[in-house]
Amino acid sequence: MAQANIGVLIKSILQDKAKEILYFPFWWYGKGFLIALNFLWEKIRGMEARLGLKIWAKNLFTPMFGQRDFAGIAISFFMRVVQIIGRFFILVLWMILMAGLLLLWLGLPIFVVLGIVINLVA
Amino acid sequence: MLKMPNNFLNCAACAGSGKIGGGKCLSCHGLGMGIYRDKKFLYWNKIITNQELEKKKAEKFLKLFLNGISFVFSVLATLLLLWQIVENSFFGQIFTLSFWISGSPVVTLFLVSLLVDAYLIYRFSEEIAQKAKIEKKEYQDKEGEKKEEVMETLPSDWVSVRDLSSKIKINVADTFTFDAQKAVEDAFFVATKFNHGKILPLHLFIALLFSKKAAIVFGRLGVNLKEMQEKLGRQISSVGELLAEGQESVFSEELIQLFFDGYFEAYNSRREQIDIAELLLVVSRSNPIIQELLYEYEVDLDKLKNVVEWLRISEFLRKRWQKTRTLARLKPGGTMSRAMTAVATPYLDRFSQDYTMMAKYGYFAPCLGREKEIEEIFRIIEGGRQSVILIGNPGIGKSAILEGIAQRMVEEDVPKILQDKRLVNLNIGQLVAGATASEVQKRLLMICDEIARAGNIILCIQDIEGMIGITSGDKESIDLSRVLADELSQGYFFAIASARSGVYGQYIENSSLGAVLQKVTIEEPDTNGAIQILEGKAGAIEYQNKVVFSYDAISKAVILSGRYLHDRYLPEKAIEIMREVAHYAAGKRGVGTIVVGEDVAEVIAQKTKIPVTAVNEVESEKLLRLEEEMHKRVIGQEEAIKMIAAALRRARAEIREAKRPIANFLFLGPTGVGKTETAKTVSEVYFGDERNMIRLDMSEYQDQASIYRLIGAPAGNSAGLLTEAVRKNPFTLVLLDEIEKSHPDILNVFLQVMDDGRLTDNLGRTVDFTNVILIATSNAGSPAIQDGIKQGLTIEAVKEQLINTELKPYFRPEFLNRFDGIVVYRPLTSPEIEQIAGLMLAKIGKQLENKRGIVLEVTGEAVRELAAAGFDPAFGARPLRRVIQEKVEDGLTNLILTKKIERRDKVILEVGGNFRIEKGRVL
Repeated sequence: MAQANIGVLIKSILQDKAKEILYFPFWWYGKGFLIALNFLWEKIRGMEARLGLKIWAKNLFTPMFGQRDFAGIAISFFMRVVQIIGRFFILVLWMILMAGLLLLWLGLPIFVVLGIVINLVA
Repeated sequence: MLKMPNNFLNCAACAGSGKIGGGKCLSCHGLGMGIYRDKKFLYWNKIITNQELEKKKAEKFLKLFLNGISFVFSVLATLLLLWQIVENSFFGQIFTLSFWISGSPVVTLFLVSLLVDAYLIYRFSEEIAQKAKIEKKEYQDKEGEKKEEVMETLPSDWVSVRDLSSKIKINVADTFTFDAQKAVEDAFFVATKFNHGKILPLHLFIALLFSKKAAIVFGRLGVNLKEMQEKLGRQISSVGELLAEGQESVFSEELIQLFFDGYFEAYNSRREQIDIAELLLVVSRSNPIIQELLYEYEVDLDKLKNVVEWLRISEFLRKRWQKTRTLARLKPGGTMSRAMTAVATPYLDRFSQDYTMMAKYGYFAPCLGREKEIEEIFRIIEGGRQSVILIGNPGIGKSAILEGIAQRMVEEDVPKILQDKRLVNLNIGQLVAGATASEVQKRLLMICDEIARAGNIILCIQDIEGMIGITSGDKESIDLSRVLADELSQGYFFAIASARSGVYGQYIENSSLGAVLQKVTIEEPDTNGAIQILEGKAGAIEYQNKVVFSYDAISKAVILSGRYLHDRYLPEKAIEIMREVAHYAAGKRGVGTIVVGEDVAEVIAQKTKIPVTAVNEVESEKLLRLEEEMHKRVIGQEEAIKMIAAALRRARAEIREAKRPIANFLFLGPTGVGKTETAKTVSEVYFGDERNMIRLDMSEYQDQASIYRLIGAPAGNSAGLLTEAVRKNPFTLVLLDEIEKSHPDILNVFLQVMDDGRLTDNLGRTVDFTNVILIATSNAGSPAIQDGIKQGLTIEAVKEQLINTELKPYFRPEFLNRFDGIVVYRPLTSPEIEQIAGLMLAKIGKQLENKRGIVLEVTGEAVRELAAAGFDPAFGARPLRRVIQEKVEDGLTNLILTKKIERRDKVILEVGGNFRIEKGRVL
């Protein structure tokens, strides 16, 4: 009786595991992809917040350090333009990095499976 | 037992299990039991059988095992690959495809490990996703929306449930936390252990007690969990039907209904999941046996709810702290704004503290329960770019609100107008220190100038009244506050100020500052609000003192400080008490101790000298023998003694009206019968010393103006004699001697004291008289008492006559009505005078022995002789004192001065005033 029960238990667990493994590729390119996408998007937003790009852009014509004379305004404007370009460049780099990670997510299973198959055949 | 709602659906085909013969029940589509409420259809779909639980256990073990193996495998494969790369100098090749498809077993192994890693990510993320979150409750302000909901037809059978959108069908089992799920499984085990067919709320309650969170909740409530579990064990064996052969325990309708209640409890308190706390609340609320059991530990649902709230507050604070820390990284630490528009403010920095910077670096404690006030401040600032003044009594939380605003500014969770700004606290003390008035004004203008240039500063000025009255004193010179008001009215910056309630009305409201500052009143929190604030503060105090607070300690700190510490306000006074009690308990019982309510009572009792601790055995004995103790000093006057003793006992057992003095008594009687002596005795027996009373000879208050001596003169700075004395010592006896001699207006003052138990002094402070025994004595109507007694009237009849006729010229009926007892002291009889003479002589003897070591003995005849000489029905025991003075004290003095008696001698007073001396032994 007890042995029969253990048998049923093992069968049931193995069935579940098999379903789980079969679902893995679908998850990776479906729900998992969306999760990864969301995660990387949050990272990009976090970087944007850290760089304060929006704040710099919004204050493009506001003089820096309260220097409201003409020279101050002019210098501020150019300084802000330089800052915005520099910060934007960092953000673009970061976005490229994130996009790379996303590509890695998409390509990893294919690359790995192919690699394993080729290596095993070789 | 729990009443099931009308629309609760229980599938008859599958008996609510959702399954028939291993497959899904077709009648209910596998939902089993459910209910439609608040636009949602809740159902419970979780199979709990022995086999399922065994499987779960095995899966858990397997998962742990596989995770461990996978992790080790991954690490080893990576290390192996790295080792090969380093060993063979493959650095250049790892970016080439040929390296990865070279057929190397190490590379293959690494690729397999990558696949395993990806699989682990998949499993972890699925496990997290498995737990559904309860949707956030929307705030409904519009009446219309609510009506619409009521109008809706409720699905009353499974066919109509099938047509509902799948989005609104919620499996409540998915919203349980791991701990809550574990408790449900444990409830199954408990029911199985007791061989019960149905899993009832009581089974769940027992299971909940095993969880860590329940241990915290009941630990805070001071409940002995082990003992409660034993009691529950006895209760549980008699409930529920027994399990049929070959069957397994199944969920009862009541329990499933409780799970649904738990869902709404979590939904209404905006929780993401159903946890132990929600289950504890709904189970306790629904089951009378559990409630009865909790009452045994003096736990009611309110207490339980507040402790559950405590758990939530701690969790909320932890989460908010993490959020603040994350967002604080974005806030600049210096004077510069993120937009780089600001200007450094070196001059302002000399007289101020940067609150946003302090908040950024975690200097401030979290501000709790003041969201409404903060929102109001934001509304004013956002709406009209107006400056704000917070009005409230000291200790009410004005500073906490300002700190809370600083914290929200760090998180940038503020209206746009406050974003990327600094909250800077101007220190008035530093501003005015070491400068003349005109210099101070100059300083303020320079500061304003800096603020204008910086453009990113919100000025915070606490206790702004400090700015009023600073003028250079010259002709037409203006006040410092006026300078600030002028600058604020220009609107180039704004300020958040604060001031005390009384001060605002007196100095600010009608001044130029009042015109530019919008008023926000900060109220004292109510008891529950204050308890929750204290719960938020408890963690830090526990950590500092290495103690644990029980709920009782927190609630007593709020309730007792509210009742007995009148000069200060909640929550600060309760927080102070908490700090003190934590230190006191740690000192008394060592670190790691639990601070209980009695510790709080002891500290408050020490501070106020009011006995608020529980009555112990010694005190209880003393209270029961109060009459006996008092009769050691007061001879006769049974009625008065009984009345006072009963009032004291009622007060100590807290069976009295808490809003009036402990007792108000009027003692009537001729002079020398023991009225004042009774008051002194109460003071000695109950308040520790006969001097521990406030004695006012009312003959000194015969004119109307003398009222100001009692409560202080209007606009004067010195406090009143009575109000100040009671304020300093609220647990005392107030003796108003010969009250009939005072002015009638003064009696009106006492009308209020006797009725409301409070009196307001000239400084506007309300003095608490609820812990006072008020005794008034009067000689009014003495001849009538003596005549009545002579005529053989009873004391009751004499009293009647006094109240109806004799006292009328002195006291108004409403005044007499306020007394809890009017006691008529009857003239002393000859035997009583003898007893009094005995007491007086004993007192002299005691003094003589203590000071000179001489023993005094008085023969019975001598006492009788003295009593007879000192007895005068008109003057009571007063003449006796004179007789004893002349015949005893004077005689003894002569003997001492002539050195006829010395240390160790014995003097015997005999009839005729003769002193016989027995010489003591010579050393």
